[in-house]
Amino acid sequence: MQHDLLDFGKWTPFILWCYAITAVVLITLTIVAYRKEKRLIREIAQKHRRDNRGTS
Amino acid sequence: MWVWFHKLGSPPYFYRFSTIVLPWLAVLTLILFSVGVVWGLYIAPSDYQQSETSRIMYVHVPASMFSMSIYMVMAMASAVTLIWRIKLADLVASASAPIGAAYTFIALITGSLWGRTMWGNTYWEWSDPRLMSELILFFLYLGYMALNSAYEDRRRAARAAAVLALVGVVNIPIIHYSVEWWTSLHQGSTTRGTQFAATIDPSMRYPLFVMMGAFAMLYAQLLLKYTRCLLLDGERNNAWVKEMVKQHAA
Amino acid sequence: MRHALLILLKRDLLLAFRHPNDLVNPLIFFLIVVSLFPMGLKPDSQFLPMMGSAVIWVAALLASMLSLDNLFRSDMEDGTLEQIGLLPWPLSALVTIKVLVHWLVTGIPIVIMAPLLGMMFNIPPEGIRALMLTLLLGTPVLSLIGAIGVALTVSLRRGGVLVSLLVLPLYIPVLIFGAGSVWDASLGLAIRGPVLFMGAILVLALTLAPLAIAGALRISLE
Repeated sequence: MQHDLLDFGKWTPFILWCYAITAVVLITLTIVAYRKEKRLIREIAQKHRRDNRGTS
Repeated sequence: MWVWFHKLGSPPYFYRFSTIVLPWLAVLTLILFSVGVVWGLYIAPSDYQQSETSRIMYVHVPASMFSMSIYMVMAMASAVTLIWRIKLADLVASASAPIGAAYTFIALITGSLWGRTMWGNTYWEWSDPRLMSELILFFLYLGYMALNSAYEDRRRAARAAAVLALVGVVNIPIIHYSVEWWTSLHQGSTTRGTQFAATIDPSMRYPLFVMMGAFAMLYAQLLLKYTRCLLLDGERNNAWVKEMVKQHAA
Repeated sequence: MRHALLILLKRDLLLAFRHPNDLVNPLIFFLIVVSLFPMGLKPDSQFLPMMGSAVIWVAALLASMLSLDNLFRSDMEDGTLEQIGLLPWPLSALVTIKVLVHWLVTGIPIVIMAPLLGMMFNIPPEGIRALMLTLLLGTPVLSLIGAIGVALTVSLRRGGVLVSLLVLPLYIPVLIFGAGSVWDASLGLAIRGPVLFMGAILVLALTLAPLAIAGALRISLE
Protein backbone atom coordinates (compact mmCIF):
# COMPACT_ATOMS: atom_id res chain seq x y z
CA MET A 1 0.00 0.00 0.00
CA GLN A 2 1.41 3.35 -0.98
CA HIS A 3 1.24 6.48 1.16
CA ASP A 4 2.37 9.98 0.96
CA LEU A 5 4.64 10.51 3.89
CA LEU A 6 2.54 11.67 6.86
CA ASP A 7 -0.76 11.17 5.08
CA PHE A 8 -3.12 8.60 6.51
CA GLY A 9 -6.38 9.77 5.08
CA LYS A 10 -9.21 11.11 7.16
CA TRP A 11 -7.69 10.58 10.59
CA THR A 12 -4.16 11.76 9.89
CA PRO A 13 -3.93 14.35 12.70
CA PHE A 14 -5.11 11.83 15.29
CA ILE A 15 -2.53 9.25 14.31
CA LEU A 16 0.25 11.80 14.14
CA TRP A 17 -0.70 13.30 17.50
CA CYS A 18 -0.56 9.86 19.10
CA TYR A 19 2.92 9.19 17.80
CA ALA A 20 4.10 12.71 18.56
CA ILE A 21 2.89 12.72 22.15
CA THR A 22 4.34 9.30 22.76
CA ALA A 23 7.67 10.40 21.33
CA VAL A 24 7.74 13.58 23.37
CA VAL A 25 6.93 11.79 26.64
CA LEU A 26 9.41 8.98 26.12
CA ILE A 27 12.24 11.20 24.90
CA THR A 28 11.73 13.61 27.80
CA LEU A 29 11.84 10.72 30.22
CA THR A 30 15.08 9.45 28.71
CA ILE A 31 16.76 12.85 28.61
CA VAL A 32 15.79 13.54 32.21
CA ALA A 33 17.28 10.23 33.29
CA TYR A 34 20.56 10.71 31.48
CA ARG A 35 21.01 14.30 32.57
CA LYS A 36 20.12 13.51 36.16
CA GLU A 37 22.87 10.93 36.39
CA LYS A 38 25.41 13.22 34.80
CA ARG A 39 24.52 16.00 37.22
CA LEU A 40 24.77 13.68 40.20
CA ILE A 41 28.18 12.42 39.17
CA ARG A 42 29.41 15.96 38.70
CA GLU A 43 28.05 16.98 42.10
CA ILE A 44 29.67 14.07 43.86
CA ALA A 45 32.98 14.63 42.09
CA GLN A 46 32.97 18.28 43.14
CA LYS A 47 32.24 17.45 46.73
CA HIS A 48 34.91 14.79 46.65
CA ARG A 49 37.47 17.27 45.41
CA ARG A 50 36.45 19.81 48.04
CA ASP A 51 36.77 17.19 50.78
CA ASN A 52 40.23 16.22 49.58
CA ARG A 53 41.36 19.81 49.62
CA GLY A 54 40.06 20.19 53.15
CA THR A 55 42.03 17.23 54.51
CA SER A 56 45.31 17.78 52.69
CA MET B 1 22.39 -20.44 38.88
CA TRP B 2 20.88 -17.61 40.87
CA VAL B 3 24.21 -16.25 42.01
CA TRP B 4 24.32 -13.57 39.36
CA PHE B 5 20.90 -12.45 40.46
CA HIS B 6 21.88 -12.21 44.10
CA LYS B 7 25.01 -10.37 43.16
CA LEU B 8 22.83 -7.75 41.49
CA GLY B 9 21.55 -6.86 44.94
CA SER B 10 24.93 -5.40 45.80
CA PRO B 11 25.07 -1.74 44.72
CA PRO B 12 28.64 -1.61 43.32
CA TYR B 13 28.08 -4.79 41.35
CA PHE B 14 24.78 -3.50 40.07
CA TYR B 15 26.42 -0.28 39.00
CA ARG B 16 29.16 -2.02 37.07
CA PHE B 17 26.70 -4.45 35.52
CA SER B 18 24.39 -1.66 34.37
CA THR B 19 27.30 0.31 32.93
CA ILE B 20 28.02 -2.62 30.64
CA VAL B 21 24.38 -3.35 29.76
CA LEU B 22 23.07 0.18 29.24
CA PRO B 23 24.70 1.05 25.88
CA TRP B 24 23.44 -2.22 24.41
CA LEU B 25 19.95 -1.55 25.70
CA ALA B 26 20.05 1.97 24.27
CA VAL B 27 21.04 0.72 20.84
CA LEU B 28 18.46 -2.06 20.93
CA THR B 29 15.73 0.37 21.98
CA LEU B 30 16.60 2.72 19.19
CA ILE B 31 16.60 -0.03 16.57
CA LEU B 32 13.33 -1.53 17.78
CA PHE B 33 11.60 1.84 17.86
CA SER B 34 12.79 2.80 14.39
CA VAL B 35 11.75 -0.54 12.93
CA GLY B 36 8.47 -0.57 14.83
CA VAL B 37 7.43 2.96 13.91
CA VAL B 38 8.26 2.56 10.22
CA TRP B 39 6.63 -0.86 10.07
CA GLY B 40 3.58 0.30 11.97
CA LEU B 41 3.09 3.53 10.05
CA TYR B 42 4.04 2.50 6.55
CA ILE B 43 4.44 -1.20 5.94
CA ALA B 44 1.62 -2.73 7.97
CA PRO B 45 -1.73 -2.78 6.15
CA SER B 46 -4.56 -0.65 7.44
CA ASP B 47 -7.37 -2.58 9.04
CA TYR B 48 -10.37 -2.85 6.74
CA GLN B 49 -12.82 -1.93 9.52
CA GLN B 50 -10.90 0.66 11.41
CA SER B 51 -9.06 2.09 8.43
CA GLU B 52 -5.80 3.82 9.15
CA THR B 53 -6.59 4.52 12.80
CA SER B 54 -5.50 0.99 13.68
CA ARG B 55 -1.98 2.38 13.46
CA ILE B 56 -2.57 3.99 16.83
CA MET B 57 -2.62 0.48 18.23
CA TYR B 58 1.15 0.18 17.84
CA VAL B 59 1.73 2.75 20.56
CA HIS B 60 -1.45 2.35 22.57
CA VAL B 61 -1.37 -1.40 23.18
CA PRO B 62 2.28 -1.67 24.32
CA ALA B 63 1.95 1.41 26.52
CA SER B 64 -1.19 0.17 28.29
CA MET B 65 0.16 -3.36 28.57
CA PHE B 66 3.39 -2.25 30.20
CA SER B 67 1.69 0.34 32.37
CA MET B 68 0.06 -2.63 34.14
CA SER B 69 3.17 -4.82 34.16
CA ILE B 70 5.30 -2.03 35.57
CA TYR B 71 2.89 -1.75 38.49
CA MET B 72 3.34 -5.49 39.03
CA VAL B 73 7.12 -5.07 38.97
CA MET B 74 6.74 -2.26 41.49
CA ALA B 75 4.58 -4.40 43.75
CA MET B 76 6.99 -7.33 43.60
CA ALA B 77 9.97 -5.10 44.32
CA SER B 78 7.96 -3.59 47.19
CA ALA B 79 7.28 -7.04 48.63
CA VAL B 80 11.00 -7.80 48.45
CA THR B 81 11.72 -4.48 50.17
CA LEU B 82 9.39 -5.27 53.02
CA ILE B 83 10.40 -8.91 53.47
CA TRP B 84 14.15 -8.96 52.85
CA ARG B 85 14.91 -5.27 53.12
CA ILE B 86 17.13 -5.31 50.06
CA LYS B 87 17.95 -1.70 49.35
CA LEU B 88 18.15 -2.17 45.61
CA ALA B 89 14.61 -3.56 45.46
CA ASP B 90 13.25 -0.39 46.97
CA LEU B 91 15.15 1.68 44.43
CA VAL B 92 13.78 -0.44 41.61
CA ALA B 93 10.25 0.16 42.89
CA SER B 94 10.74 3.91 43.21
CA ALA B 95 12.45 4.14 39.83
CA SER B 96 9.60 2.25 38.17
CA ALA B 97 6.93 4.69 39.33
CA PRO B 98 7.66 7.65 37.02
CA ILE B 99 8.17 5.35 34.04
CA GLY B 100 4.92 3.55 34.77
CA ALA B 101 3.09 6.84 35.19
CA ALA B 102 4.46 8.04 31.84
CA TYR B 103 3.37 4.83 30.08
CA THR B 104 -0.06 5.14 31.66
CA PHE B 105 -0.26 8.73 30.51
CA ILE B 106 0.60 7.69 26.95
CA ALA B 107 -1.98 4.93 27.08
CA LEU B 108 -4.63 7.42 28.25
CA ILE B 109 -3.86 10.02 25.61
CA THR B 110 -3.58 7.60 22.71
CA GLY B 111 -6.62 5.67 23.94
CA SER B 112 -8.71 8.79 24.01
CA LEU B 113 -7.51 9.91 20.58
CA TRP B 114 -8.17 6.44 19.19
CA GLY B 115 -11.54 6.43 20.86
CA ARG B 116 -12.35 9.81 19.34
CA THR B 117 -12.02 8.30 15.88
CA MET B 118 -14.53 5.58 16.80
CA TRP B 119 -16.97 7.21 19.19
CA GLY B 120 -17.53 10.24 17.06
CA ASN B 121 -17.68 13.42 19.01
CA THR B 122 -16.10 12.71 22.38
CA TYR B 123 -12.51 12.39 23.45
CA TRP B 124 -13.50 10.68 26.64
CA GLU B 125 -16.02 7.89 27.00
CA TRP B 126 -16.80 6.96 30.60
CA SER B 127 -18.26 3.67 29.47
CA ASP B 128 -14.95 2.32 28.21
CA PRO B 129 -13.67 -0.01 30.94
CA ARG B 130 -10.09 0.01 29.70
CA LEU B 131 -9.73 3.76 29.78
CA MET B 132 -11.32 3.84 33.23
CA SER B 133 -8.94 1.22 34.65
CA GLU B 134 -6.06 3.05 33.05
CA LEU B 135 -7.16 6.33 34.64
CA ILE B 136 -7.37 4.77 38.08
CA LEU B 137 -3.97 3.18 37.56
CA PHE B 138 -2.64 6.64 36.78
CA PHE B 139 -4.06 7.88 40.10
CA LEU B 140 -2.41 4.98 41.91
CA TYR B 141 0.96 5.87 40.39
CA LEU B 142 0.54 9.51 41.36
CA GLY B 143 -0.38 8.57 44.93
CA TYR B 144 2.64 6.28 45.16
CA MET B 145 4.99 9.00 43.94
CA ALA B 146 3.43 11.58 46.25
CA LEU B 147 3.89 9.35 49.29
CA ASN B 148 7.40 8.40 48.25
CA SER B 149 8.52 12.00 48.04
CA ALA B 150 6.70 13.11 51.18
CA TYR B 151 9.12 11.35 53.54
CA GLU B 152 12.53 12.85 54.00
CA ASP B 153 14.12 9.67 55.27
CA ARG B 154 14.70 7.41 52.25
CA ARG B 155 14.37 4.15 54.14
CA ARG B 156 11.02 5.00 55.68
CA ALA B 157 9.77 6.45 52.42
CA ALA B 158 10.66 3.18 50.75
CA ARG B 159 8.80 1.04 53.23
CA ALA B 160 5.73 3.26 53.46
CA ALA B 161 5.49 3.41 49.67
CA ALA B 162 5.96 -0.35 49.52
CA VAL B 163 2.92 -0.88 51.76
CA LEU B 164 0.92 1.42 49.51
CA ALA B 165 2.03 -0.41 46.36
CA LEU B 166 0.94 -3.72 47.84
CA VAL B 167 -2.42 -2.33 48.90
CA GLY B 168 -2.80 -1.02 45.37
CA VAL B 169 -1.98 -4.34 43.80
CA VAL B 170 -4.65 -6.09 45.84
CA ASN B 171 -7.07 -3.43 44.66
CA ILE B 172 -6.29 -3.62 40.95
CA PRO B 173 -8.39 -6.72 40.19
CA ILE B 174 -11.25 -5.35 42.30
CA ILE B 175 -11.09 -2.05 40.45
CA HIS B 176 -11.00 -3.92 37.18
CA TYR B 177 -14.12 -5.95 37.92
CA SER B 178 -16.03 -3.04 39.39
CA VAL B 179 -15.31 -0.96 36.31
CA GLU B 180 -16.33 -3.82 34.03
CA TRP B 181 -19.58 -4.27 35.93
CA TRP B 182 -20.25 -0.56 35.96
CA THR B 183 -19.65 -0.09 32.24
CA SER B 184 -21.72 -3.15 31.36
CA LEU B 185 -24.71 -1.27 32.80
CA HIS B 186 -24.42 1.32 30.09
CA GLN B 187 -25.43 0.05 26.74
CA GLY B 188 -22.98 0.10 23.91
CA SER B 189 -19.77 -0.22 25.83
CA THR B 190 -16.97 -0.65 23.36
CA THR B 191 -15.26 -3.99 23.20
CA ARG B 192 -12.52 -2.64 21.05
CA GLY B 193 -9.54 -4.20 22.77
CA THR B 194 -10.43 -7.82 23.37
CA GLN B 195 -12.14 -8.64 20.12
CA PHE B 196 -9.53 -6.80 18.23
CA ALA B 197 -6.62 -8.67 19.78
CA ALA B 198 -8.20 -12.03 19.06
CA THR B 199 -8.86 -11.38 15.42
CA ILE B 200 -5.72 -9.46 14.66
CA ASP B 201 -4.04 -10.30 11.43
CA PRO B 202 -0.43 -11.59 11.46
CA SER B 203 0.65 -8.76 9.23
CA MET B 204 -0.37 -6.41 12.03
CA ARG B 205 0.75 -8.67 14.84
CA TYR B 206 4.45 -8.60 14.04
CA PRO B 207 4.89 -4.82 14.09
CA LEU B 208 2.92 -4.85 17.33
CA PHE B 209 5.40 -7.33 18.80
CA VAL B 210 8.28 -5.15 17.67
CA MET B 211 6.75 -2.15 19.39
CA MET B 212 6.13 -4.18 22.54
CA GLY B 213 9.78 -5.14 22.47
CA ALA B 214 10.73 -1.51 22.03
CA PHE B 215 8.63 -0.40 25.00
CA ALA B 216 10.03 -3.23 27.11
CA MET B 217 13.62 -2.38 26.26
CA LEU B 218 13.02 1.28 26.91
CA TYR B 219 11.56 0.39 30.30
CA ALA B 220 14.60 -1.75 31.11
CA GLN B 221 16.94 1.01 30.07
CA LEU B 222 15.15 3.77 31.95
CA LEU B 223 14.74 1.53 34.97
CA LEU B 224 18.48 0.98 35.15
CA LYS B 225 19.15 4.68 34.63
CA TYR B 226 16.72 5.90 37.28
CA THR B 227 17.86 3.23 39.71
CA ARG B 228 21.44 4.36 39.20
CA CYS B 229 20.42 7.95 39.92
CA LEU B 230 18.70 6.96 43.15
CA LEU B 231 21.66 4.79 44.07
CA LEU B 232 24.19 7.58 43.53
CA ASP B 233 22.00 9.98 45.43
CA GLY B 234 21.57 7.66 48.39
CA GLU B 235 25.13 6.37 48.60
CA ARG B 236 27.01 9.50 47.72
CA ASN B 237 29.26 9.18 50.77
CA ASN B 238 30.22 5.55 50.25
CA ALA B 239 33.70 4.54 49.23
CA TRP B 240 32.70 2.75 46.05
CA VAL B 241 30.82 5.76 44.76
CA LYS B 242 33.83 7.99 45.35
CA GLU B 243 36.07 5.49 43.62
CA MET B 244 33.69 5.27 40.71
CA VAL B 245 33.39 9.02 40.38
CA LYS B 246 37.17 9.37 40.42
CA GLN B 247 37.47 6.85 37.59
CA HIS B 248 34.74 8.66 35.74
CA ALA B 249 36.48 12.00 36.06
CA ALA B 250 39.85 10.64 35.03
CA MET C 1 -6.65 -10.17 75.09
CA ARG C 2 -10.39 -9.72 74.83
CA HIS C 3 -10.19 -7.63 77.96
CA ALA C 4 -7.56 -5.39 76.41
CA LEU C 5 -9.62 -4.94 73.28
CA LEU C 6 -12.68 -4.02 75.36
CA ILE C 7 -10.70 -1.48 77.35
CA LEU C 8 -9.38 0.07 74.15
CA LEU C 9 -12.88 0.15 72.70
CA LYS C 10 -14.24 1.85 75.79
CA ARG C 11 -11.38 4.33 75.91
CA ASP C 12 -11.72 5.34 72.26
CA LEU C 13 -15.49 5.67 72.47
CA LEU C 14 -15.12 7.78 75.58
CA LEU C 15 -12.54 9.98 73.89
CA ALA C 16 -14.79 10.36 70.87
CA PHE C 17 -17.76 11.44 72.97
CA ARG C 18 -15.66 13.86 75.01
CA HIS C 19 -15.13 15.86 71.82
CA PRO C 20 -18.63 16.18 70.44
CA ASN C 21 -17.47 18.77 67.92
CA ASP C 22 -15.15 16.34 66.20
CA LEU C 23 -18.04 13.93 66.16
CA VAL C 24 -20.60 16.23 64.61
CA ASN C 25 -18.43 18.16 62.17
CA PRO C 26 -18.02 15.40 59.56
CA LEU C 27 -21.78 14.87 59.59
CA ILE C 28 -22.45 18.57 59.05
CA PHE C 29 -19.88 18.48 56.27
CA PHE C 30 -21.73 15.52 54.74
CA LEU C 31 -25.02 17.40 54.93
CA ILE C 32 -23.63 20.59 53.42
CA VAL C 33 -21.78 18.91 50.56
CA VAL C 34 -24.85 16.90 49.63
CA SER C 35 -27.09 19.95 49.62
CA LEU C 36 -24.61 21.97 47.57
CA PHE C 37 -25.15 19.84 44.48
CA PRO C 38 -28.84 20.54 43.89
CA MET C 39 -28.08 24.23 44.34
CA GLY C 40 -25.64 23.98 41.46
CA LEU C 41 -28.41 22.62 39.24
CA LYS C 42 -31.62 24.23 38.14
CA PRO C 43 -34.26 23.90 40.87
CA ASP C 44 -36.66 21.77 38.83
CA SER C 45 -34.02 19.53 37.44
CA GLN C 46 -35.12 16.03 36.54
CA PHE C 47 -31.56 14.79 36.96
CA LEU C 48 -31.94 15.04 40.71
CA PRO C 49 -32.82 11.41 41.51
CA MET C 50 -30.23 10.17 39.02
CA MET C 51 -27.52 12.28 40.59
CA GLY C 52 -28.62 11.71 44.13
CA SER C 53 -27.11 8.28 44.56
CA ALA C 54 -23.73 9.42 43.26
CA VAL C 55 -23.73 12.66 45.23
CA ILE C 56 -24.63 11.03 48.53
CA TRP C 57 -22.01 8.37 48.02
CA VAL C 58 -19.25 10.82 47.10
CA ALA C 59 -20.12 12.99 50.08
CA ALA C 60 -19.99 9.92 52.29
CA LEU C 61 -16.52 9.09 50.96
CA LEU C 62 -15.28 12.59 51.66
CA ALA C 63 -16.84 12.83 55.10
CA SER C 64 -15.44 9.47 56.11
CA MET C 65 -11.99 10.33 54.80
CA LEU C 66 -11.78 13.77 56.36
CA SER C 67 -12.89 12.50 59.73
CA LEU C 68 -10.12 9.90 59.67
CA ASP C 69 -7.50 12.59 59.99
CA ASN C 70 -7.45 12.38 63.74
CA LEU C 71 -7.66 8.58 63.95
CA PHE C 72 -4.03 8.12 64.98
CA ARG C 73 -2.67 11.66 65.15
CA SER C 74 -3.45 12.61 68.75
CA ASP C 75 -2.45 9.16 69.97
CA MET C 76 0.79 9.51 68.05
CA GLU C 77 1.51 12.90 69.53
CA ASP C 78 0.98 11.97 73.17
CA GLY C 79 2.80 8.65 72.81
CA THR C 80 -0.21 6.41 73.37
CA LEU C 81 0.31 4.78 70.02
CA GLU C 82 3.83 3.77 70.91
CA GLN C 83 2.55 2.17 74.09
CA ILE C 84 -0.12 0.34 72.16
CA GLY C 85 2.57 -0.86 69.79
CA LEU C 86 4.48 -2.31 72.73
CA LEU C 87 1.57 -4.40 73.98
CA PRO C 88 2.00 -8.15 73.72
CA TRP C 89 -1.08 -8.50 71.52
CA PRO C 90 -1.06 -8.17 67.76
CA LEU C 91 -1.19 -4.56 66.67
CA SER C 92 -3.50 -5.46 63.81
CA ALA C 93 -6.25 -6.51 66.25
CA LEU C 94 -5.82 -3.37 68.31
CA VAL C 95 -6.00 -1.02 65.35
CA THR C 96 -9.11 -2.82 64.12
CA ILE C 97 -10.78 -1.63 67.32
CA LYS C 98 -9.78 1.92 66.60
CA VAL C 99 -11.19 1.65 63.09
CA LEU C 100 -14.35 0.09 64.49
CA VAL C 101 -14.80 3.08 66.79
CA HIS C 102 -14.34 5.41 63.85
CA TRP C 103 -17.01 3.54 61.94
CA LEU C 104 -19.38 3.59 64.92
CA VAL C 105 -19.10 7.35 65.34
CA THR C 106 -19.09 8.42 61.67
CA GLY C 107 -20.18 5.49 59.49
CA ILE C 108 -23.36 4.68 61.37
CA PRO C 109 -24.59 8.29 61.59
CA ILE C 110 -23.98 8.62 57.83
CA VAL C 111 -26.11 5.52 57.24
CA ILE C 112 -28.84 6.96 59.44
CA MET C 113 -28.75 10.38 57.77
CA ALA C 114 -28.76 8.97 54.25
CA PRO C 115 -32.54 8.32 53.91
CA LEU C 116 -33.33 11.95 54.71
CA LEU C 117 -30.91 13.15 52.08
CA GLY C 118 -32.21 10.57 49.65
CA MET C 119 -35.69 12.00 50.06
CA MET C 120 -34.32 15.46 49.35
CA PHE C 121 -33.16 14.05 46.02
CA ASN C 122 -36.52 12.38 45.24
CA ILE C 123 -34.97 8.93 45.27
CA PRO C 124 -37.78 6.32 45.32
CA PRO C 125 -38.18 4.11 48.43
CA GLU C 126 -36.51 1.07 46.84
CA GLY C 127 -33.52 3.23 46.07
CA ILE C 128 -33.38 4.53 49.63
CA ARG C 129 -33.44 1.00 51.00
CA ALA C 130 -30.57 0.11 48.68
CA LEU C 131 -28.76 3.27 49.72
CA MET C 132 -28.88 2.33 53.38
CA LEU C 133 -27.88 -1.25 52.70
CA THR C 134 -24.92 -0.35 50.52
CA LEU C 135 -23.76 2.38 52.88
CA LEU C 136 -23.95 -0.11 55.74
CA LEU C 137 -21.69 -2.48 53.81
CA GLY C 138 -19.52 0.22 52.27
CA THR C 139 -18.69 2.62 55.10
CA PRO C 140 -16.66 0.05 57.10
CA VAL C 141 -14.57 -0.52 53.96
CA LEU C 142 -14.07 3.23 53.69
CA SER C 143 -12.90 3.39 57.30
CA LEU C 144 -10.54 0.44 56.85
CA ILE C 145 -8.95 1.62 53.61
CA GLY C 146 -8.78 5.19 54.84
CA ALA C 147 -7.03 4.04 58.00
CA ILE C 148 -4.22 2.58 55.85
CA GLY C 149 -3.68 5.96 54.24
CA VAL C 150 -3.78 7.75 57.58
CA ALA C 151 -1.38 5.25 59.15
CA LEU C 152 1.08 5.80 56.30
CA THR C 153 1.06 9.57 56.70
CA VAL C 154 0.58 10.04 60.43
CA SER C 155 4.24 10.80 61.09
CA LEU C 156 4.35 13.45 58.38
CA ARG C 157 3.69 17.01 59.38
CA ARG C 158 1.25 17.66 56.58
CA GLY C 159 -0.75 14.58 55.83
CA GLY C 160 -4.12 16.05 54.94
CA VAL C 161 -4.12 16.35 51.16
CA LEU C 162 -1.72 13.48 50.75
CA VAL C 163 -4.15 11.10 52.43
CA SER C 164 -6.82 11.92 49.90
CA LEU C 165 -4.39 11.28 47.04
CA LEU C 166 -3.58 7.87 48.43
CA VAL C 167 -7.02 6.83 49.53
CA LEU C 168 -9.54 8.16 47.03
CA PRO C 169 -8.42 5.98 44.10
CA LEU C 170 -8.78 2.95 46.35
CA TYR C 171 -12.32 4.03 47.24
CA ILE C 172 -13.47 3.83 43.62
CA PRO C 173 -14.77 0.21 43.60
CA VAL C 174 -16.91 0.88 46.67
CA LEU C 175 -18.26 4.03 45.07
CA ILE C 176 -19.04 2.27 41.80
CA PHE C 177 -20.91 -0.62 43.39
CA GLY C 178 -22.61 1.54 46.00
CA ALA C 179 -23.91 4.30 43.79
CA GLY C 180 -24.57 1.91 40.92
CA SER C 181 -26.80 -0.38 42.92
CA VAL C 182 -28.78 2.53 44.37
CA TRP C 183 -29.50 3.68 40.86
CA ASP C 184 -30.38 0.15 39.74
CA ALA C 185 -32.69 -0.33 42.70
CA SER C 186 -34.55 2.88 42.01
CA LEU C 187 -35.17 1.61 38.48
CA GLY C 188 -36.60 -1.56 40.01
CA LEU C 189 -33.71 -3.81 38.97
CA ALA C 190 -32.22 -6.56 41.11
CA ILE C 191 -29.18 -5.48 43.07
CA ARG C 192 -28.21 -8.79 44.63
CA GLY C 193 -25.02 -9.11 42.60
CA PRO C 194 -23.39 -5.80 43.45
CA VAL C 195 -24.50 -6.03 47.08
CA LEU C 196 -22.92 -9.46 47.42
CA PHE C 197 -19.81 -8.11 45.75
CA MET C 198 -19.70 -5.28 48.29
CA GLY C 199 -19.99 -7.84 51.04
CA ALA C 200 -17.03 -9.69 49.56
CA ILE C 201 -15.03 -6.47 49.43
CA LEU C 202 -15.89 -5.85 53.07
CA VAL C 203 -14.68 -9.31 54.09
CA LEU C 204 -11.49 -8.87 52.11
CA ALA C 205 -10.85 -5.44 53.59
CA LEU C 206 -11.58 -6.74 57.07
CA THR C 207 -8.97 -9.50 56.71
CA LEU C 208 -6.20 -7.66 54.89
CA ALA C 209 -6.52 -4.00 55.85
CA PRO C 210 -5.68 -4.47 59.57
CA LEU C 211 -2.38 -6.09 58.56
CA ALA C 212 -1.58 -3.18 56.25
CA ILE C 213 -2.59 -0.63 58.90
CA ALA C 214 -0.42 -2.31 61.51
CA GLY C 215 2.53 -2.52 59.11
CA ALA C 216 2.12 1.11 58.14
CA LEU C 217 1.92 2.19 61.78
CA ARG C 218 5.11 0.31 62.64
CA ILE C 219 6.87 2.22 59.85
CA SER C 220 5.45 5.50 61.10
CA LEU C 221 6.52 4.72 64.67
CA GLU C 222 10.15 4.03 63.74
